[in-house]
Amino acid sequence: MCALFSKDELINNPTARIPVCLCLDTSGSMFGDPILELNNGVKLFFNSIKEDEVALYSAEIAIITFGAKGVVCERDFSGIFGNINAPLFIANGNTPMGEAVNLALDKLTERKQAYKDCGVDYYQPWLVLMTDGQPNGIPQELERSVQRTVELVNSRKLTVFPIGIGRNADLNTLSRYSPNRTPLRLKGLCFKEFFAWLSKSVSAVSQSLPGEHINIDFDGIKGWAEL
Amino acid sequence: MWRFFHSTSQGRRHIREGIPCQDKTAARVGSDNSYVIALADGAGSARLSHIGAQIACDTIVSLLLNTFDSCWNASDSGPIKDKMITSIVSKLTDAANEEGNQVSDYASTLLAVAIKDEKYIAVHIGDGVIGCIKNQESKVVSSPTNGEFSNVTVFITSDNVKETIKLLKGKTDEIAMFILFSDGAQQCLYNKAKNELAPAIESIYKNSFLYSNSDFQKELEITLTEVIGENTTDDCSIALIIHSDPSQISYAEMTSAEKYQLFGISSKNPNKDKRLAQLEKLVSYLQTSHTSKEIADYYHMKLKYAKKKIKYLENKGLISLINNKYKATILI
Repeated sequence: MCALFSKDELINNPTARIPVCLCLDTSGSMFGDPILELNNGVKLFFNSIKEDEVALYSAEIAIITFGAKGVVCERDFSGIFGNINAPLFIANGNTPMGEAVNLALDKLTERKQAYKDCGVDYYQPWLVLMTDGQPNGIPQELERSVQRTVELVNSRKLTVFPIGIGRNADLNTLSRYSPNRTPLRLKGLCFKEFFAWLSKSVSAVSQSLPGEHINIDFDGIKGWAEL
Repeated sequence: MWRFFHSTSQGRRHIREGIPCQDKTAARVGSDNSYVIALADGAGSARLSHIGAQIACDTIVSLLLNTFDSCWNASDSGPIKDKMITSIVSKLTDAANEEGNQVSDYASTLLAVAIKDEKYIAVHIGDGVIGCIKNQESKVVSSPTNGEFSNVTVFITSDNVKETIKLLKGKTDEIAMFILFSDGAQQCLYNKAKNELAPAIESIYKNSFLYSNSDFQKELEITLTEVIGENTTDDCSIALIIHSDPSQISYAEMTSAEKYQLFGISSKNPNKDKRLAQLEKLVSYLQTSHTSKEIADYYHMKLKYAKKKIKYLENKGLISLINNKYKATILI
């Protein structure tokens, strides 16, 4: 009970959003245990977000895959509420990574404009890029995607997490996307550990306050990355 | 005459993590009947920002009280903004040097409003909101400054503070209240999409007249902690300054400066206390009605001198004539 005003005289501003795009390699080389563990990892990620009352209303997850059907937007940026489950991926086809990153950046631009149009605050977006091989899409698209990503990272408008899966992952190409952060190689098939770390990191951002540096949990990274 | 109230509330997240409340407030009345309220929100990851926020508030309060006229009369706001920033950063630097810390450890936002002689000056660095009640309606005086991202704003110690500090001035003619609040309280008191204040602000203003000063202050503290604070995990703070008629204020709660103003005694009068005591005595006598002859007899003075005193108080609206007798209009 409030004596100075009625509670319906308060404003209910929308929660600040954190847009996270998972850009995932589902090419033929991911067939078998890698795609199985990737599916389990993304499912864990979804469940972790749902169980975190702050991240639940803040995180907006998009998933872009690159594999058999070319580049597919499995889900556009949106929250994970109620019965929404993680999509299941099938490994097949080539690795048009440049095209996938370009689509991810297009989706991100659209989403930020939607936030601005509706007066919704948002945190710096994240792009998680995971691949187990070398890109073999259109070279110009690859170059364009690298250029766009680097420009955003250098102007502090995007955080990129490039992750190589397995021994054949092309870390050199991945490093081109991330001028400020060395790409990491996933330890074995520790997808679950990675996505658990990712959901905790998203939660930390969604609770951050102005002027607060978001401390990436580097100790936690040791749980899933070869350092 | 203005009354001010201010309060801070530690956020749930800060309580959980053992971080002190980083929101600070300050308010003062000057000897020349000027008023200042100030509020600062320490930067989240600046470990001593709770100290920095208090330094910022205290410094801007002193500066505005001491230099209101020169700030108001300046034709170019640039040097005034520079002076404000430099003064505060200098104090922060002194504090940092004493303890071997970085100035950035003390980073905070800053909001302040100063009032003197029906004029106001408002200063704003960073997020949080400055609002007012003007012609009975709430209006935004200064909206938050944020970067593109939600957790980015400008602090007094930021490189781009000079480009983003806001300094406004105007007349208080139709303004009944100014309000300052930090971004924690902004969550439910400010509509970001429409750049409007919540209807609750107008209710706070209207309901303030139902309380004594001390009771309203208590109610504000409770509201901040138990209602406004429930809408965020962040610290919250609020500062208000409300225009009041003397009849709306209990005489016992007035400051000396307000009493001098009420009786029309200049603060520069060397005999102001003696003059105040004389007039208080007369108004106190006139809590019950008396004729001018009775007043003259009470003071052992000639009727013509008594009538001069009566006329003075009548012109101030502190006594009135009813059925040939004079009676006080305020309770002493």
